Amino acid sequence: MTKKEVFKIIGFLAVLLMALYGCSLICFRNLRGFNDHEDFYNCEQDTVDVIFVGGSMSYSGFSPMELYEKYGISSYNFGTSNQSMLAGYLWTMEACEKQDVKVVIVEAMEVPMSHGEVATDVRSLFSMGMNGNYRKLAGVYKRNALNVLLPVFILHDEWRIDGDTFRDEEDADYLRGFVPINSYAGEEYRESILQEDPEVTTYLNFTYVDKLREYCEEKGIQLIFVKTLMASNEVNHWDDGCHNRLQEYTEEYGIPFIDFNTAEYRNAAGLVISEDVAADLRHMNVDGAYKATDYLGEYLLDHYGSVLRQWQDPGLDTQTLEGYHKIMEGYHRGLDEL
Amino acid sequence: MTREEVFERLNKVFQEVFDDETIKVNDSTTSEDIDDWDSFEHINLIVAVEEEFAIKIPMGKVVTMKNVGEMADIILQLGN
Amino acid sequence: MTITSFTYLLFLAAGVFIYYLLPRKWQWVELLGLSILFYCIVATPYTLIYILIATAAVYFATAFLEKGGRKAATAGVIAVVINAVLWFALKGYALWAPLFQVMGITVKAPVAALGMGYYTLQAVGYILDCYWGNSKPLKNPLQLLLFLCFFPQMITGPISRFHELEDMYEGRDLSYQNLTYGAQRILWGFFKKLVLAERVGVLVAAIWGNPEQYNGFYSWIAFVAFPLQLYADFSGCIDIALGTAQLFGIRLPENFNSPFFSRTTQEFWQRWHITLGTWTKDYILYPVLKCGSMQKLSRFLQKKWGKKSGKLAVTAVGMFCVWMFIGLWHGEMKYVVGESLWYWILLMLGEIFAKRCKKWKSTLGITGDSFSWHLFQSLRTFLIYAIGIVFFRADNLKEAFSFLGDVGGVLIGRHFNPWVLFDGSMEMLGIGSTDLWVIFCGVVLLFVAGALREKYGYAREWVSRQLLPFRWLVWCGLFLFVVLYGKYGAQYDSANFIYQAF
Repeated sequence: MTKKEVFKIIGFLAVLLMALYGCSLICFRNLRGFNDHEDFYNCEQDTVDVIFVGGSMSYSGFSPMELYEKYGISSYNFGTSNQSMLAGYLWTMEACEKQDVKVVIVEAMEVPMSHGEVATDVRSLFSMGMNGNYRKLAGVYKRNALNVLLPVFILHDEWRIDGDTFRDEEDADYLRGFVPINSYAGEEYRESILQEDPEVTTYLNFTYVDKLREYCEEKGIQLIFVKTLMASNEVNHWDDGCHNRLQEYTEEYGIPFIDFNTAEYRNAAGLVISEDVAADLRHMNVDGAYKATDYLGEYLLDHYGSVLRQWQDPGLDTQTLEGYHKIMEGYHRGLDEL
Repeated sequence: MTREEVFERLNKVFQEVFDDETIKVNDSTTSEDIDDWDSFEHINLIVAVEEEFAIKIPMGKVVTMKNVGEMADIILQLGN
Repeated sequence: MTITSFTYLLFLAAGVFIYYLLPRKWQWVELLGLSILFYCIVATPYTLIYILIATAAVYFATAFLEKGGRKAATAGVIAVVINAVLWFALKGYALWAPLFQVMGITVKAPVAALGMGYYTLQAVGYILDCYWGNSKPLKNPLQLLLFLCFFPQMITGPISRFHELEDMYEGRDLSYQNLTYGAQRILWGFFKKLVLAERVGVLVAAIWGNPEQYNGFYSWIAFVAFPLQLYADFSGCIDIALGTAQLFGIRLPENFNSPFFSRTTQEFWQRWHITLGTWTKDYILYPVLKCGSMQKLSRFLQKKWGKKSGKLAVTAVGMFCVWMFIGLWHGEMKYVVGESLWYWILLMLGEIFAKRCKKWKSTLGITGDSFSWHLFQSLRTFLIYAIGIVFFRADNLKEAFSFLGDVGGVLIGRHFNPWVLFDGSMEMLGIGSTDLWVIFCGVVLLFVAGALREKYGYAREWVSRQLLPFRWLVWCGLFLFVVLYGKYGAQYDSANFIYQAF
């Protein structure tokens, strides 16, 4: 082989790498556009006390604005689609850089969703909507260099995302990460009452749960696990085994675990499956989200009222509040019409 | 037997087997050049050649033969 | 490790790197090492013993050849029989198991060696070649082992002849052409398998999986799509195999030559699974036709029925043997019916009516080389192939016939539902509208590559004559197409190659 030919091969590979990098950037942009949390970066310093992390169950299940209006608690919901524990952990750290976070509420679906697969982690990393270019995010995650530097191999499906998202761009500015759903499960569901049988699922991966817990302990942040109400556990990754395993874990470390699928919490929050779960039988609808948020508001004041600040003077202007009310009226009307 | 003689007799065989009096074969003629020369006629041709020259062409040669030139070489080799 | 995985590419890169560092006379030893390693990773390691048995049998048989005479012939026959029996016992399970069932004995399917259908044919071909004096037997049994278990051809062939690989033991110097052509060919194979075959496969599986719901025009879609899937799958794997071998400077024989451009069924079989076709021609058709009793039969029939009919009858017998062999080689009765009988009848009809067709054509005033005539012929050939291939996809004969009934039913107006092609129903079959576009573009690309090959030899060679920016654009573009639209990654269980089963 001549020198010229060697250079040709190297040149071609360089061009190919650049093209792959370009595609990676586009995939990243598509993913980020799908779930962005621009409004968090607009919050003023030290104005957010409580954060929510988790997947779609989180962003459709908890309304920070309700928490603010009714209980004077300032919070932000970092939910993104299929968020893994890794992303939840990173969001917690990102939030703590600018905010004095007191309580982190983890939507527990994250735990069984994170099997510790590289593909899930990388996908979640790039779709978590965090600011900064993707190399910064890649730097956080060191498990598989190639997949992180050229995530196109993992994200190639994301190429085709056509912006079909829960989140309405216009609304996003007023809701602090909350994405309401207005549909009913109706009576067509199979109730998922937790069984007595203490079977424990072993496939849960606690790597990043542990990291998050240690981080919170170190910073003096209170951690809470919450599982939103679902209509049937057959369509979910969440089953009794997951519940029992997480129950075991939280008891071991003295972390509160509120599972709205248990009769105890469901009744306490006044949740009803046919009315408060969306038609997909997985997520809570607007009504469910408000009941769950109200329950959490009281719970937070009861247990952590001393550390949580009461926000009288809104860090939010009246325009935001009005916008929020207008949007929510629309959602409630939509639900009533069904 | 000279190569010319072999080709003359081969011509006759080809014309008979393929029913075509216009066929003229030379060293580089292959199955591509004659329409009907497919794998079935190939065997018929070989058998006709064997009869004409009173020889027995071994299977190995039947398979590897590439053109009429090679066929003539084989005939010359086996005929002597 | 599948050969479409990232691991395989790493395996290959490491293998090629070491290969060209070694002195040429040791390179084949590394190939043998790689082949055994590959076998142990991909297949059940202990089944390697079957390849060793085959190798030993072949080696001793050919060693006897030197001595000549009766002994050599006997040894050759024994070696062929050992190979055939081993193959039949392990791969012919579906053929012999029913016999045991009749006697009330259930036998579990044995684990066969990887690539058994392919290397067994190579072994038998090698024995005959040596016996006929076309090849000189190898002195070194390890070299023989490499010939039989050379890893690129272990998945789906091609079935190599010894004289085609003879010089692999001499080693190679690093060459730009081998590296680039090899890599390009592998990429093309990845494209066929990951982008096309896997995608079309989803569509075909959805329709085949639910014949009650998907009838009428749906069955036509599966009917037309499955040949495409099989072609993309099988020839894609062959492309990867040939590309892999070329990285090591070794040229394996071609197995496909744009088969869907064929004008007749006979031509089709000279352009589809070529190495199986030529193998049966040389080692079955010729010996059968040339043996004494067939010649006697030929003379007898020619006297009785006239020259033409006599010849035709003998041809029919020879063809029957070939097609029966091909059907049995696939290992199940459905193939015997779908491949053997179907194509045998079709080819025979072709022979019988060849002359008459010529006459009809001239009466109708059809000129032989117009584009539309070629198109008609190719479509007809495709249709014939698609019918035969239904037996491939079906689980058994009953299913195949009921599917064909469904396809035929559309022609007489049963389940007449052409609107499913346009009203979005296609997207209910497990693939989205993007996928349909990708399939469309992929088929166009296949067609362009095929047309280039018809006109200029290999499409790769045509590209290599273009300006550098164009070349890079083509290969980068294809690479990105595969990366972005290939079906691979955590969500997909990339299926095995269809022809891996044989």
